[in-house]
Amino acid sequence: MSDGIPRGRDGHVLQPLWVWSPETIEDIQSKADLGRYTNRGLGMTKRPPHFEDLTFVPCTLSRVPLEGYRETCATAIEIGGRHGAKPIKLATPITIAGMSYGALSRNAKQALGMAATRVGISTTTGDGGMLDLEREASDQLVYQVLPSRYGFNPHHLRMANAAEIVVGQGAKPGTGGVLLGAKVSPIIAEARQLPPGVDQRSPVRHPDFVGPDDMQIKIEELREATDGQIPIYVKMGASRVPDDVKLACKAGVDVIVIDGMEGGTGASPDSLMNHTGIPAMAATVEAVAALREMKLEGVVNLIISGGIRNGVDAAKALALGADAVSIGTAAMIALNCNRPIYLEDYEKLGTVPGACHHCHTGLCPVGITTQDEDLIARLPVDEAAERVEGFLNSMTQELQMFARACGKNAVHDLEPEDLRAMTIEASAITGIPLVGTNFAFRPESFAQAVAEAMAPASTNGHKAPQGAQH
Amino acid sequence: MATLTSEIDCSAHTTREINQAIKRAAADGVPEIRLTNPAARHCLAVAVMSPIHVIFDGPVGWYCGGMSDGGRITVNGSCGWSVGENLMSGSIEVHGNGGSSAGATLRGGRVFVAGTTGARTGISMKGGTLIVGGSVGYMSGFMMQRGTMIVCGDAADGIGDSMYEGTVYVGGAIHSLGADCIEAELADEDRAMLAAELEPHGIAASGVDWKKLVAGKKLWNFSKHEYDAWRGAL
Amino acid sequence: MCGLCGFVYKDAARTGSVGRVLHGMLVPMGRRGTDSTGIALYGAPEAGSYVVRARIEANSGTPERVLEAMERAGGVRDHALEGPNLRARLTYDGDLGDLTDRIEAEPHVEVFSIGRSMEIVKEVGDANDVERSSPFSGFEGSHAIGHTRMATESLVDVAHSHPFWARPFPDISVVHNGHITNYHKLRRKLENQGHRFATGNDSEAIAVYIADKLAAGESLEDALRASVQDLDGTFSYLISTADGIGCARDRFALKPLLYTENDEIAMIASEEVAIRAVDGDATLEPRELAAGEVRWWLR
Repeated sequence: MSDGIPRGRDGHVLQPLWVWSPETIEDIQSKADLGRYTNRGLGMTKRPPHFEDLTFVPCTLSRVPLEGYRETCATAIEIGGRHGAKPIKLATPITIAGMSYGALSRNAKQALGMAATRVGISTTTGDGGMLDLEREASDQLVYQVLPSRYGFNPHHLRMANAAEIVVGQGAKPGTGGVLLGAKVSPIIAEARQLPPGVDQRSPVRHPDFVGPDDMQIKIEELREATDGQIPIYVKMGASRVPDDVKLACKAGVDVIVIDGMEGGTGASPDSLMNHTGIPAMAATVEAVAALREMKLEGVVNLIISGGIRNGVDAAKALALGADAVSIGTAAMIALNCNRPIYLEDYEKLGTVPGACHHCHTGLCPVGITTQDEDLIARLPVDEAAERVEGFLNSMTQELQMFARACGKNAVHDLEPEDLRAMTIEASAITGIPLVGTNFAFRPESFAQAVAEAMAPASTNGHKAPQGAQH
Repeated sequence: MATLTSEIDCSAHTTREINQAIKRAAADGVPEIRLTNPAARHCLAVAVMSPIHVIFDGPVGWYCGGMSDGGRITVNGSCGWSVGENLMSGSIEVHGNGGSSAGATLRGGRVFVAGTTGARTGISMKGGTLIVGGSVGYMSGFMMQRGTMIVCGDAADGIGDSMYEGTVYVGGAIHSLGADCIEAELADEDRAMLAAELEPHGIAASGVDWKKLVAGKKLWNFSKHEYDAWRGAL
Repeated sequence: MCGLCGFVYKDAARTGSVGRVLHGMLVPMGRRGTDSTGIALYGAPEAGSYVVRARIEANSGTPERVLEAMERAGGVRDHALEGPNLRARLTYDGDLGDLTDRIEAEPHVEVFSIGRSMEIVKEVGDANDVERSSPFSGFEGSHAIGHTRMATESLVDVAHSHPFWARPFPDISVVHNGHITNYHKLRRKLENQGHRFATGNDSEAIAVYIADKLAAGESLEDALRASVQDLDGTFSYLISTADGIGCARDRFALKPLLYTENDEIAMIASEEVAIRAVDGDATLEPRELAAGEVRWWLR
């Protein structure tokens, strides 16, 4: 029978069990063979509550939209000036997230830098230090300070436009990592002062401080090393966001980067990706509330990353209160990640375009996450830069489109009130009213509704309206 | 070229002013600068990138000399955490006790602490030489990649845990070895190196029962057959 | 995450300006946390009496009713009310848990400490904010511990500030830097044994844990050693009792703690700057506590 229902040879319906699904069976058996948990690249597989679950409510009669082609919609923002450093100037509120030279090829890093410079935004180094090609290509380069300190060079720090202390990332908050020896080529090994071909173990903690009170002293050291000239960021995986954001503020940072659980990675334990951290949308709401409580909204800047796919996600993040978004995986995909070319090489890896997350093998068919010269040659820098520039411009156009539709002449004027939630879950997470109602599924709303329902009617016979704004 | 010795009273200046003064003196070719009353303040002499001799008459706080390249720093007193972290080249001498993470992620040059240091001394070293006249604390030499650490006194639990390359020499007692840390045989070159490194600090290398510690390499490449080695390491 | 400091005169007969010393130590420790500051000071006991320090965030007769309750309990020998801060010395020899309940029967009243000699003062802000609210820099006594707070997970208010009095055990308090990650498990276990917690702050669990052991007759040394095994997470902490000060550091030595001593005094602090603020000539060289180490100084 060909009715689309999986059947055995005898026609009986085949029923896989939810607990012991084919994926779980494969996972258990590969762990039995390996004797350890599995690692892979990219990010989580299950669907989290996401910006996807929000929609905009643009102008119609109650508000006036702006013309797309004539009426300006500003996108620029300066970040990091809290303590008097020279701020990072973003022509559009998007940054390229930290990805290491080592995880990425030099062509990829160079292309990202070129695109960022043309568009007027920043790129970020990664776990492995600063590549000279990236410093030359990228006008605004943020220098990461990671627990491993691989390739860390104070001269490079002093050449950077900002420093980013990495406390964790969305894909695997609270964990270090292991990069298997196959990806540690002689060049990379030397750059990291490791023996070649050896598993690279990354620590989770920084070697010279533990905790936010001690991080405050580290931040002072970084300011002294750079004569107070550059902004200091801290990057964290989205976990206990309200506490973490407040502590980062108390430790004296200029910019906070929160990476949601959707965040990407070159190689991390598969189980961590799906089961640690919270989604970027939820993290945004908590981070903004924490900054508001500290009275530092707009003073300490907030950048949100993790599963930002396009200008729409960016617009929603901004509407919820982020100052900017950061893209990692999306930038790689713009470079060519998972493009349907070199199909035989995807096959050799045991995958197909659209499902490839085999960064950890070092055999990227399109030359992005590899150190193999032949593969790198498949990513000519100029074309790759043009693709990333094109994608960044499309994001800016989308940002402006949504802002204008909502009657804003600046994308940073987008507000939570411009949004509605498509699901009860998204409403409960963000405090945004559910479509078709003016009710946000939050404890405060329930409390208010109960109080109003029980209140005596007012003297003119009208009951006070529920919910928020009009 | 100036031949003056500059002197600064730290109690009269902010940390930024002190560090800027050190950098200016270095740029002007002043050979030596003396700082009084440091009173254990943090982040002093950070990123000293030229061969000036910086002398602290008194104790310093955390991160003294951190991220420096080519300077010479002398502390006549104790120091806090992370002295000389990420030092690229040059030297730091502390005539007192040190804190935790002394010489963290050291890349080159030389750090000497005459007294005792705390936990995670020499953590993540990537080169250079770290010498401790007294004992070192828990998990010292953790994830050491390259370089030489010489501990004249005792080593607390977990010495040399998860090392790559790099060598640790311990003159006193070892409480316990870290994961994948083994003892190797001491050669004549080792003895000569120890004498050469310690003699300038007035410490006798001969007559000491030196233990040479290196990585066992069992944690270098994951092997499912080394369950005991990897069970705790991942 | 926070800053800790402690000071003790070793000789049982000796007292001095512990308030001034702690104030000096707390000022540089303020950089580690400015959410709140608190000190537990040990003055001269008076036979048959307890000294109570309480916070009364209410008017409309509440302070009067609190004093009446104390009068009924045993008699107020003297008292002083400065703003919301009450200090009173009571004649009393009953159960301190009962006494605490009677004082806290009014809403918005919180007992900071009860002891024969221990007095806890705390305030939102830094050491000078405490001094303005409950002057302590002139306090004469035998020993003291202090704390500057950078709140990690619980609230920023005076109630959640250190030092935590280990209620209802007189003269015991704790200051802590770090985060106890098995707080909830530990709290449930101690509550099942009949102990009560006043706040949701993980540090309070250390105070209750140690007090529980001391009340069962264990020595301070044994209680400190057991805590290193039983507490999970990061911790450097000081505990003060009527007789002196103890301290402990977790087995991974994750939060800083230094001590220094001579024949007459001992000082403990998170950073050397605190010690140098008091011993400017640097005659006392500090040493870090080792991982899992405990130390104590009893007069």
